Amino acid sequence: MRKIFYSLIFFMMGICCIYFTAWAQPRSISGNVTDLSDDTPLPGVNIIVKGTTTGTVTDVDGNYKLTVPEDAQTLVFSSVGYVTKEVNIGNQTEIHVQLSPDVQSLQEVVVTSFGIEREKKALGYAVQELQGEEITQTKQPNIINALQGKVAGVTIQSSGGQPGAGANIIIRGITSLSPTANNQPLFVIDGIPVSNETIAGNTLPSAGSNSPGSSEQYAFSNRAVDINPDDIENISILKGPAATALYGLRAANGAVIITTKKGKAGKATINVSSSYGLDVLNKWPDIQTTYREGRFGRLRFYSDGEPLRFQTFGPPVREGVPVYDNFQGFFETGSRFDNSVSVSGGSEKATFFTSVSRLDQKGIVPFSGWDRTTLKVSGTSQFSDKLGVSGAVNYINSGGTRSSSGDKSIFSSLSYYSPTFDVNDYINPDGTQRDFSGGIIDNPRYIARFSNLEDDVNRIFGNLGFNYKVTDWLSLDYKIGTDVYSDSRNRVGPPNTDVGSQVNGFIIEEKINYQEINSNLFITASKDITEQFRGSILIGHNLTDIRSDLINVRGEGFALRNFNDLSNATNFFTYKDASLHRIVGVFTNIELEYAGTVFLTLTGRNDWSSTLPEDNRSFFYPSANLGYIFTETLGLGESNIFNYGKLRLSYAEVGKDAGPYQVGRYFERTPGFPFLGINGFRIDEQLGSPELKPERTTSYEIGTDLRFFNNHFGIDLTYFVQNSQDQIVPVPVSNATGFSTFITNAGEIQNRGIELLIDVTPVQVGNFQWTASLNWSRIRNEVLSMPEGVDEIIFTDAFYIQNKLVEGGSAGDLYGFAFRRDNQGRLLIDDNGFPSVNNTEYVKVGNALPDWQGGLTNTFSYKGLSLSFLLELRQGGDVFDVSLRNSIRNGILKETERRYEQVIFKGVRNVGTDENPEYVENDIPVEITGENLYRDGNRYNNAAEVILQDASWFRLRNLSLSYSLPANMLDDTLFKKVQFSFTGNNLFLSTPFRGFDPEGSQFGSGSNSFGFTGLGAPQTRSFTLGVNVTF
Amino acid sequence: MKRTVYTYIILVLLMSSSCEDYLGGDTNIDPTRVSEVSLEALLPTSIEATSEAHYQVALETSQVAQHMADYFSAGADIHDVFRIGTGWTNIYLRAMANAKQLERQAEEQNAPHYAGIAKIIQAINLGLATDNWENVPFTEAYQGAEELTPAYDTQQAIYETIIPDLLNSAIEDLQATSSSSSPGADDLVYRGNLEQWIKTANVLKARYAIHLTNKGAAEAANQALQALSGLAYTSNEDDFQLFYDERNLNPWHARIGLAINTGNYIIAHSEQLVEAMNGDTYGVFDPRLPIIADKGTSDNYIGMVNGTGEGNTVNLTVDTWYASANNPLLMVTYAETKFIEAEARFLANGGDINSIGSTDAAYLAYLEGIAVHMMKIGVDTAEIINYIANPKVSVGAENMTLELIMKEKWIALFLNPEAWVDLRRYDYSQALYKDFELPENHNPQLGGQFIQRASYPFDELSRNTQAVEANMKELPAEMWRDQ
Repeated sequence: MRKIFYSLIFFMMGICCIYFTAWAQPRSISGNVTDLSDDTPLPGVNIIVKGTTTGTVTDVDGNYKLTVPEDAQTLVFSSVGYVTKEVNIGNQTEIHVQLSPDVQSLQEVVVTSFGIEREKKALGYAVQELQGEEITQTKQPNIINALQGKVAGVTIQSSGGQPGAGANIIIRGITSLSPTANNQPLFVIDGIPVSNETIAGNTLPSAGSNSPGSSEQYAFSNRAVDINPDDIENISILKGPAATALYGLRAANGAVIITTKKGKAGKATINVSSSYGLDVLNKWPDIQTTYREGRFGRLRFYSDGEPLRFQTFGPPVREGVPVYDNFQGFFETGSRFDNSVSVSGGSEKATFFTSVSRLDQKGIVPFSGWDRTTLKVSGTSQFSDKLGVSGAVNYINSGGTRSSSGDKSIFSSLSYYSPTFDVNDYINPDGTQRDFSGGIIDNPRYIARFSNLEDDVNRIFGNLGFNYKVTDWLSLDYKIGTDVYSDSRNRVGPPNTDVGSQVNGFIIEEKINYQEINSNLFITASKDITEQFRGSILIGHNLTDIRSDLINVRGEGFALRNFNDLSNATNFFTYKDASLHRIVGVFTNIELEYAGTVFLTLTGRNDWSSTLPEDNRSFFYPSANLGYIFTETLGLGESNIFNYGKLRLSYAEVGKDAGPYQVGRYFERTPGFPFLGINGFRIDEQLGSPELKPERTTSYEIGTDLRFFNNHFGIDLTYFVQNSQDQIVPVPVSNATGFSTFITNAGEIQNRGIELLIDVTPVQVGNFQWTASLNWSRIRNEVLSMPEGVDEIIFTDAFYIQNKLVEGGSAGDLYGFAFRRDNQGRLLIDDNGFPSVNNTEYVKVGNALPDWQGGLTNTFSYKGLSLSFLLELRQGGDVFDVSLRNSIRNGILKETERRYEQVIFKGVRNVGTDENPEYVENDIPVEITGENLYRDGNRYNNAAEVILQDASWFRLRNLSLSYSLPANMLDDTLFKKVQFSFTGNNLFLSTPFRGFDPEGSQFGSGSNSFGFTGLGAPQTRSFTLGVNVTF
Repeated sequence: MKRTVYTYIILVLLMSSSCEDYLGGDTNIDPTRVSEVSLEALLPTSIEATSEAHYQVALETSQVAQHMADYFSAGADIHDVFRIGTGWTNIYLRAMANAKQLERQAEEQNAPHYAGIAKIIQAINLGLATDNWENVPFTEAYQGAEELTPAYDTQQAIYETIIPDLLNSAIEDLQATSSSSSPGADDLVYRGNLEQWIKTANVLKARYAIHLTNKGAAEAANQALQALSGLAYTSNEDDFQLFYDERNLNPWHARIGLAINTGNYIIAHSEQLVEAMNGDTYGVFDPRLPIIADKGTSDNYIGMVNGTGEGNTVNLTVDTWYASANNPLLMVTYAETKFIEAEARFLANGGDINSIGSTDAAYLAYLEGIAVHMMKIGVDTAEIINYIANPKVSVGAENMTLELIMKEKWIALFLNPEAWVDLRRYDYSQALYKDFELPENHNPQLGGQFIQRASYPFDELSRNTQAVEANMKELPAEMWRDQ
């Protein structure tokens, strides 16, 4: 396969070369296109000879040159955001055109499934589109983070401030009852799906870590991080099954459709974009500064003088003794240096776009960093009137040094580190670790330097497409694409650290290979049946082949110190994983349009999946959607007040298959074996039903799009209900069955929600424009039914807080232990004068998902100056901060500063019996010593009331100020455009959450673990200066 | 129009044509796992899991038995709810499940030698389960999707029929003259020595017989003696134990001993044990104490009072015998056999908790039990002689008491789940276990009563709710065995 792939690359590069040499131009027209309102040149305007496919686009200066056939009559000038203009050619050889802006254009074209561009007005479902500039202006290296606060109905969860950290994206809620299912959308670049997987792998030693798995370690990248944001032309978010029906099962959770920049006809354009940014810690917990390390108010030591305890419940800090705010002091200023150059251009018949970019990032955690190099070559060409070819190849190298997170990591150590000691004083002259606790608590800076993971990803993805117009109404499209990457990881756990000591040091080498091939063929026929009635039919075929494998070699027991190589290990453990997933799909799409008023789309798709049992392998699902522009019928189109109104209705079904190899029963090598040189196998703990059938999601969506005052005010409202039934769930079963989980079809989960978009242009006077856009959404999730005999499905168990689903509950529900209370909810005080936590019963204590979220973008522009800022509000969403609990238990936080103080806990005591309680106000005075409250789980720190927090926030997500030099200043220079910008992220944050920024999941992207934070690199505030120059 | 429709249909058909080759065949078969395995692949798995289960169970029950105390003074340590979830998983999902599979395959393949061992492994795991949770699943277990919520067997059925049947049938299997295959190196404990497996089956028969002293002491004693009259352990070499290596570390070594090195203190020796061995309680210093407990640089051996989480000088460091990397995890020992014999002979002779004096045979078994355990953990011969010669130990048959037997058995069962069974059989009697008291901060819900059982794990509760709820009992409710 690889061979074929390389051939494709060469073939494609060939196409580009051929073009620039081969074409002759018999008759040409040239000219310039400008904006009617301010005379600025308009780049990227489409110019087409009416009735043909011959055309070009304007360059950055708004200039164009076009060869036209002898009989050409009319040129059509069109550009997104402008009213399309037709110009009669006559005998002219030079045609200059001014286009008038269409404030909020109704002729917007959006990219839908398979890169098919459709007029937004024809769609019967909601789609939201973002321009490349909206992505790049955030200066977020990970495009998922760049979507934060911008898209209604989308929940993004970043895994923190580690450079290259993964981010999780969920559109319209969690659709699966399975803790291991993928709830994330499909990522598609130029019509071909690419991997956005986050592979956690295995980074744990055989003994000595309590981590639940690698998903809480190292904030691994979701692979969309490899995409260079500067290459993006626009992103279209397809939210529901109606929008993604053609993509089939892989897009059952929605799709993120990325269109990359293409070259434009004319003189080659060079764009250089460079930015430098600084990242700092944006929020941290308050520490107590009164007491030092020790226990029971004393500095305690073993008889040999070693400190006995690592807690901070010691004596008061004497005057003059320094106290260190390690939560702040540990972190450094991170930096990002991002450079990107693109060269693009072409002729009317062929275009090319190439880019190269390099990002160097240094994290706020010492010694951490990440970098990314991308290279892209793409081109399009029109071989003849009938045959067009396009292609693109991307090469990416990314990776870095990741700081440890999770259990026994930098952050768990930091949460225990006594403020009497400077965390940055971390190493002895002989290279050994320096810490205050006699080896009990690692020094976080020492592990940051010596116990980390390096990853190195090499990736190639690209596609090659053909378009053939058989006749004017029939065309044929074929596109094949591939995405291949390898990820090499290397982790070291030195023998003298907590995580490595039990195995005397370990090193893990992990190699992950991923390969995905997609082939799409579709044939489109479209015809005007009558003047008013138009229709088109598309039928398509899709083939997907995804394979991956992973080899993990772990060496334990170092012979030599400081030699981090497998050859230095004594004991070896190997692990291999492989998967293959194939899908064949056939689909059809029928569009009917009446008088530009009513649009009906019917789709149907049948998939055959390799992961289902043969009898259930094939499944069909239909969809229908209707768009009705009722203002046309009412004749309001010319109205200045209410000029556009559309109603959308859709119904869609989509199927979903199982993961590879889930059917049936297997034996696997027993973990830990060979044992004493003997190998062993065991029954795999998961049993898959041989009768698995596809899951089915059914969605109903109703929406409306209303525009007023000549489009100066627009509202787009959507309501949806989406039910996913026959879920393929690993049902937890009694171990006495011989299995731990049984994969079967069971249960139903529902998501319903409202998405609201408001666009306003409050002021548009001359060159000054103020636009505002608001998005707001709320999603409600409900578990309608559970697999028979199963009361709950635990997604994440952090013991003190569990995320689990029960019937009638919802995804994101958090359970924990609560203080005992009387029937009026008053705190019940024990006879010892302290409150008590009911540690035996899990009760619902919160939900990790927000109640609603919204974002408001305001943009002010005046000539070349533009100021834009995004305010983001997230209401609700509870989070358990694991490190906060550690810090409470160890007397480090400000909230543990009240000690040696007599208090009477507010609450009641039961002076009656258990059966006949009689409550009186508590009047027992007790002395808080420190340990007897803060360290005590039964009295305090196990209570969800203490450790689970509301993570609502209001933040200035992004502020961007840019200035473009006026065009006349550049007249006699090489430059066509020069823009300077300043960007700030998270400049302001208001949240009731105590601790670090609550945005930063402890578990990695793709883990389905929501509501846990505290053991990963925290979020940052960032400042970036940029310059963008076009030649 | 018609033509268009036809073309359309044909195109759709063409596109969907034959994808069987592409999707079928081996496409959905995991290349890294297998659908069938041999007998010798399953045996080591179920043995290793059995040993792991013993660790998991003892980690908790040794706190109730007051061998150990908990640094966090929670759960078993203070007689609060404890569930041994990982122990249950090891017993049901790893040890017994694979042993059951081994038994089924062995029977299909006419390999009774494997089947016999598989049954012994099931018996010891089922015993472990019933001794902690009372009623537990077995007869309805291991049917996969056919029975997702297996009902539980009563402890009575397990003791009276299931375990004896398993062990008797195991002995028969192991005595079979022909077996299509027999274990060798894959038998991680006995390396294919079937006689030692038969011995183990007999010792287990004796163990589960003597467990029923509350159902008739004489009957239980006679049953036990009868089992031991067959082929049974005759030396420490016979012990059912698992050695680990530096690649697969002994769990006590890795998870308690090594954990201490990085400040992860989990459990330490109980004051009850330390005082029983340092002379405080019985007036004689037990030379095993320095071998099983490490007092570091402290002057004295001080244990942790259960329920306080502190005050100790001793720890189960990697330098102690049980947490050393090189020593095996003990499951059934010759020493235990000797104490079963001593107790059985004492009871068979009409002895009871208060009586003094027994037969020479009972007395000898008691002394031998002490000696072989001391030898097992490497006490110097001189010190063994010295200890046994102490008049408080060698009291003579005429002064023999059940207290001496049970106290010494309790020490010899250090970190073995059996210790807690004995304590419950004798209702935590202070007549047998001197100064054995409730822990500090004792769970107030128990109203001063001792805990009698582990609670069913959360996993099982949520996955097999009906069965669990039908069998759940209060923490101080005695098991059928002890009534």
